[in-house]
Amino acid sequence: MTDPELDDLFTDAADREVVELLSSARPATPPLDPHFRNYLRTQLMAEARKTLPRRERAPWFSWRLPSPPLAMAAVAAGFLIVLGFEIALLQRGGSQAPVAADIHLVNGKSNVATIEPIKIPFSGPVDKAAVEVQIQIEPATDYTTRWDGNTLVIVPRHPLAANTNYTVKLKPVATPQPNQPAPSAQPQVVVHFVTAPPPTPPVVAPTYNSQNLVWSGDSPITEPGAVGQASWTPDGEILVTRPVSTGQAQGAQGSASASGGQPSSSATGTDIWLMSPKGSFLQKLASGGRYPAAAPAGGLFAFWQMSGNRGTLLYGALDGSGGDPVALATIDGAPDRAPVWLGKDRVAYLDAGRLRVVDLHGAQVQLASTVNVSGSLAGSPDGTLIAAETLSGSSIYDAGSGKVSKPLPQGATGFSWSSSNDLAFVIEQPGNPQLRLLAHDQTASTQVYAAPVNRSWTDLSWSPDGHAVLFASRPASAAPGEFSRTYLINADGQGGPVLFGGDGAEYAAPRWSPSGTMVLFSRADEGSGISKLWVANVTVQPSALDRAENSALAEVDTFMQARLKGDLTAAQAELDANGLAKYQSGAMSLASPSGQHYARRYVVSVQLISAGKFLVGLRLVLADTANRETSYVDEHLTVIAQGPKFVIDDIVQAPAVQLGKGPTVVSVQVQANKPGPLVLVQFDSDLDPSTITSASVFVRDDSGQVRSETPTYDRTTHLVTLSVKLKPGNTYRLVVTTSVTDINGHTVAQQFESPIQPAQAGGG
Amino acid sequence: MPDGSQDERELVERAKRDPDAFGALYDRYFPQIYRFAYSRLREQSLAEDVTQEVFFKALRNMGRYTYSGHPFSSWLYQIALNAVADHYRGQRGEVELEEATGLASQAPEVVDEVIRRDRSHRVWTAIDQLPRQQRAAMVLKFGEDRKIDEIAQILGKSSGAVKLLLHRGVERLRRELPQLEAELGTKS
Repeated sequence: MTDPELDDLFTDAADREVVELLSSARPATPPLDPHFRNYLRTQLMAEARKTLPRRERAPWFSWRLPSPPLAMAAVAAGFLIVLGFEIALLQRGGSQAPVAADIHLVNGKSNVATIEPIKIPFSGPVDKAAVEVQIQIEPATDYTTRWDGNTLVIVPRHPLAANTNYTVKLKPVATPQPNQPAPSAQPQVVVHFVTAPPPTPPVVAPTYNSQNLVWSGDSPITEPGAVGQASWTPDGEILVTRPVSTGQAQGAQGSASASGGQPSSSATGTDIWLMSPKGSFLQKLASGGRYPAAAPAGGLFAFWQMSGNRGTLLYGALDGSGGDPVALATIDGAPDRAPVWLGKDRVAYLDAGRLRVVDLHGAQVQLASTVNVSGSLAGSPDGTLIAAETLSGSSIYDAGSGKVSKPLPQGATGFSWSSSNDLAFVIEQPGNPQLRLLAHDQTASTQVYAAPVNRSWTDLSWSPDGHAVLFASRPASAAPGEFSRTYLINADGQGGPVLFGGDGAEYAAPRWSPSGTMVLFSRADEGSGISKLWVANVTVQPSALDRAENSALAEVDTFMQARLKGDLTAAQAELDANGLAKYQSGAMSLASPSGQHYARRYVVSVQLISAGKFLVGLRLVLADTANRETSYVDEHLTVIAQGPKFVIDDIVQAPAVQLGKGPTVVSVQVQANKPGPLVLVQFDSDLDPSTITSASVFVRDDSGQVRSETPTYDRTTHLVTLSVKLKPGNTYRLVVTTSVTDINGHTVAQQFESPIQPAQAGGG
Repeated sequence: MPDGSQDERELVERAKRDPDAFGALYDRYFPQIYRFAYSRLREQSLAEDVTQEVFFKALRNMGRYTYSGHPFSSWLYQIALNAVADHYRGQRGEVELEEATGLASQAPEVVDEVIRRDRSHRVWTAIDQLPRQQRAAMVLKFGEDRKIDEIAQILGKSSGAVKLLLHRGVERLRRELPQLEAELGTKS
């Protein structure tokens, strides 16, 4: 015993034996939701800021500066803004030298990407801890910070909301000096920026057919060797391994390209990072990890870590909240692949080749039989099935029991599950490799395509809607001019494979983004042989309905351009007789309120009401004479086809809402779904999930009856989803009440309402 | 150089008026309070509820907290203990929990869990079955490495009473472990 208190207390040998056992055995680490710790902290801090008495602050110039004239000069300097440099005074090593915060990288920018860190370089060393604790972001945004030298990098834990004016405030506090009074607050550094608008959602979801899709430009996002394994997260970020190098250890972490070149010779393994699709390193999630894999939902990831000759399987939160990753299992030896998620709460892995399944409490799922995996392994997104290649053949197994659910044809490998549980796989047989598909009903697999002789097909990746498969095709033997290429093929095989990507370089490992708008792949140019990570944009050729929607939105654009310029004659010319009559009766206004002007606008919703008739929700942001955005007005425009063009038939205007007064709805989408449509409501803020209830966000009909079920909230996308029962042709209203609250305790300033009008039959 | 307790005392004083200092206290003590709550309740959502209650109560009462020579964590454990007791009162009415020794053992998953785990886990499962005060003292001493004086402070008892609780707890484990292990041996 090493505790003297226990030594004194227990002298009997039998007692001591029990005490030894108790002292050597600690209770198992309790299961912990990685989000909970951070969520509770946020709640507490909000409460603390409201309830704790403010700190006493001494007048800063009375002690910090040696003389009143210098103090006055510092006050002036503290508020000086010159060419994007905002000067903040920080104490440095006991001197009074000012340190400048360079905010030009982001301040005043519009079109800022929603998945990018906010970088604020300082001209010299600062008290980093003091700067960090005073950061404020509006709308309410959960974030983490890191430093690249003297550059503060603020990383929002979740993608920022689109079309939103953000304000970031820093309130530097100097380092306390011995025998000095407590430091006081400095003038704030204030940064404003507006995030980019999202692509206008099509009123009908696109079909990912190889004839509809265009590879529309690609670009490298890393230098060669800057990252290792890479895969998408459900939020559209990229989970990568990154070599640990001396430079990185010293904290010099910029973008992927800036970190540069080959891994240093001093590399000692890899860390796990989140990266943006533009190649910016966002956040280190784990030190010394390998083979990361994101869960299909729930914001978690799993990975391996080596300790000696044992591998430990761990999981953590993708937004970095919840503290250190939690260990789930250990194996002897090194893993050779990423863990496989089964839904959002179980993980499959191999232990000396043997398939094992563990839940997030670390409890092993008892499998009915031993499955020794020799090749491909993949879990269905709903977590119910596992496709595994073994020495005795390939099969689909029930993930709960481990029993064979469906044997697969001999040689089946390269498994990939679609979002609807269809399984694509390859049969490697000499002279006749085949791509096959097993539909989710598991009746029988069908041949999609027989590949040409002497090429192998690998890295199957489904489109988000499960209509097409992307894959890499590699020549069996490397010959000059023969490269690996990426192809696209429809799930029904129609049209055969089409080249989807470039030629003349090694295109490999394509992975479709969850949104379907991007493809992540590796590319090695001839000569270098070293791969870089690339991202390509994928666009969908518009359908006839999409073209009609685009024409309607173009008409709205013309109308709004005229209003923003104050050219009301031109604006009236876009109204039809009904719209003009309403305008002339005074029931609607085309001009901005007195003393304000329309600073910008964006589309909140687009609904197809009937053939040739759209309802467009617009948000008009108003600014004052000093060009400060102060409020917004929501309008719903009915846009109808009139001959070859669209015209504005009606406008319904809502009262103005002050900006910066709590969370705001920035997008409403009605999405077709079975058995009923879904209404997706996106906010600009991180919300308090407990305030999202069937009484705070709902859809009601004209009689006031609620037509929606209990809402769900996805904190990573600020998205509330409602399952609704609607009759085509009827009118409903989405209602967001003022009881919805953000993580800082601010409520929605004013009840939000938006009409929902499902299309009548034949409308689509 | 201030020692650890001095550092903590200063942090606690600052936390009475500085949200960031309170945040630092939260970061420091969250793991042990959550672990303690889970060890008493054996259910993740209940442990979360209790942990949340502990820190909110602490925040609301920071102004009244007075340093008494014991670690700040003692106060948090005290709040946690009361919150756990409140939970059981809510579950079972005003039951004298000292007598409700079968509470944990009634959970069906306990036996299943024990079957799968090794001897050390069996010991902790056996602790789950001790009377409330014994169990609290055993968890604080052997799970959280608290000093007897501190446990006394948390439980509102004298040091002698805590020693007695620990002694009785160990004696009871000593009697029951062989039987429990034999029972498990036949099942596993």
